[in-house]
Amino acid sequence: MMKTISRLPLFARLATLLFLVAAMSAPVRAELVIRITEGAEDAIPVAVVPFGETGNLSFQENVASIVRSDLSMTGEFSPLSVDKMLSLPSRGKDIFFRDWRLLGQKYVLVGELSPVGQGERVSARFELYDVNRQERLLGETATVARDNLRTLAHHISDRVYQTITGNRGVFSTRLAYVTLEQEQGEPVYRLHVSDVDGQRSRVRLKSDEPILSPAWSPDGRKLAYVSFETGRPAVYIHELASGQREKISSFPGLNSAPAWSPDGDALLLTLSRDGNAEVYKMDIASRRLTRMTNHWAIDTEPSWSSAGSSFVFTSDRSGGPQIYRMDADGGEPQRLTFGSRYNARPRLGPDGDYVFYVHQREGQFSIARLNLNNREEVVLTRTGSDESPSLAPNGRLLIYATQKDDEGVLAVVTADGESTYTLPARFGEVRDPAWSPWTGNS
Amino acid sequence: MNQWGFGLVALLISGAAIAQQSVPAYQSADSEARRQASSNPGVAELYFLVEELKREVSQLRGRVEEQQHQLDQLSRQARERYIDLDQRLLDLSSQQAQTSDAGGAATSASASDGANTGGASVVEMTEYRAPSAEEKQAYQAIMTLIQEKKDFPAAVDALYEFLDTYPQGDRTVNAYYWLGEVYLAMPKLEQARQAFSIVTNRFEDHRKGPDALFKLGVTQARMDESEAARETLRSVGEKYPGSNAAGLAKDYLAGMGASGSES
Repeated sequence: MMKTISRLPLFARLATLLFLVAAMSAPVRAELVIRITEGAEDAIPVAVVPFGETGNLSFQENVASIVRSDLSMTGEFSPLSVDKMLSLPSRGKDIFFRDWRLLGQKYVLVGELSPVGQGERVSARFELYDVNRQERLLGETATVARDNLRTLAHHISDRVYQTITGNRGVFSTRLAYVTLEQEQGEPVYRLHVSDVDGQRSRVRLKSDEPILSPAWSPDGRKLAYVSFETGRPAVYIHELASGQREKISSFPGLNSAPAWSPDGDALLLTLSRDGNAEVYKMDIASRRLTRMTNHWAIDTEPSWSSAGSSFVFTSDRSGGPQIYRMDADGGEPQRLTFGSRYNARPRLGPDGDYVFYVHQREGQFSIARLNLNNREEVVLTRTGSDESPSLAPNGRLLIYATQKDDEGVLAVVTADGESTYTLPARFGEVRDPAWSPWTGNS
Repeated sequence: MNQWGFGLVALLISGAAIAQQSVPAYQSADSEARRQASSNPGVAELYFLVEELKREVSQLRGRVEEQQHQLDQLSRQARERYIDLDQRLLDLSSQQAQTSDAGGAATSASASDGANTGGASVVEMTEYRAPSAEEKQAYQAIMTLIQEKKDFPAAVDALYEFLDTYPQGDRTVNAYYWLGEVYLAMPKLEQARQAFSIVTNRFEDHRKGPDALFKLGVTQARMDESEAARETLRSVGEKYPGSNAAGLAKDYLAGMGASGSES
């Protein structure tokens, strides 16, 4: 055990320790379930009416309830529960706006599912209404394969979210995360990819040795991660559609913390091939390495800015871990964090105005956000042992790993810290979440 | 938990027992140095010296970075304060211009308000001795000193000289009032309080009376005398209902309430 830990990258070691320690608790199998723990005060009331069905369909999934849980996950909406609804219209002309106004609703979503052809495909017609103005904001039809109703529901959530807030939704994006379970006394690591609500998870890699730091390629088709399957750390690129994997970095010593460049052509990696942990850039096609940092202290956990012109990383060159920013073409790194003695694992927001990271204060590890324009630091989480922040592509939600009842779970917090959701995992330990970018079809 | 991350590394670097078993590959150079160190006392001394120096340099680097950060913060704050002050003076001078323009109108308005509410404590405004041309000129020079040159120490001197030369009259009260404003901006709060108090005690029926009472409240609030400040600010509305200052005092009171509940 010690042998494994001692080879891990500095800032990831603690995660592994947690794995090993908490692995004692008995794993119970189930899907991830979203539970709302805290909501924003000014959430928008929206009624998602159960969808009508024509033909003999009997679906496995309840589209409207998936849309409801999607919307409440953002913290920006508070969906009305079905038992409070006075009527269940499925068409705009059946809506009595007075009823919904009475219930304090601002928007009503109605819809209907009907089979296409032999019933192997399903078509959904959905309409969104503004209750006060009695006006239709959205009226669309979408068709999916019958066993793909979740995809359809997430698509509807995206359309509703975008119509009301003007921002692009993230419900069709995916999560990657690593779980650890004990099977016959042996640790088993699994790399999962699931929907954004934790459902429909699929194991992409299973190993007796640790899997760490999954990172999505900008097109959402590949994952880069660290695997110890050969007994030593190596970075792999895994194409999700084909399942093809390629070992791209297995230098002597450390190979860790992969981060894709925004154009997808290069990775930032932490390697110790020249002595101690430094950040390198690898051109994926040619495998050519460029050393980015040069200091006898530990430099690791790089995260690229969305423009690709700079990156942030963790370094202990000032005696403890702090976050630095550096131009991608060199130059002196500039320290960004001053709020406490421990600031690590930075992730830049999509617009480059904010950096999110693990922040220690009074013995508590939280996720904090630094505004790079005015240097204002805000602590977003209050759970106390929070780590591995990863941002949704719209920059409005952040997933992180935390401890709940001595179990490693994933939690989602809004990027303003207003509301929090936990995704209690029943996989033993869940770690290292990575939120996918938008992909072309979502 | 997280805190183990760094502790553990320290342990790994210094812990010889673990090093024998499995040296992290990236520390192999380090362990080579340690191996040599154990065979040669001179090298050992150098090794530990270098380690000590590395630690020392890290700490110093941390200090330098933190102090640089503090310097950046301070200079940014200084700039922000200057802009804020500048803005407040601009607001004041436009307010001042309005008050002197609408002086007569405000007087009759507040007088009639007083009649309506029947409040005994409402102050009736009186006209003071109008300034001579020479007096006006001297007063204007001081205003330029305050509003354009922003040379506050010189303005204080000039105001005292003006008060000596013209011990009573309309502009005399103005001068006391502006003495308060300049002290408040410097900030010399006790002096500001005294200057505003002169106006509120001796010239409460001057058109600068409501403004001075409001500013007295603000000064008291800045001196952390929130009880006195609240009382003063409330009295602005009672003594001068309908005046511009009464509205400002009310807003300021509301703001104080908000910041009070935060702490």
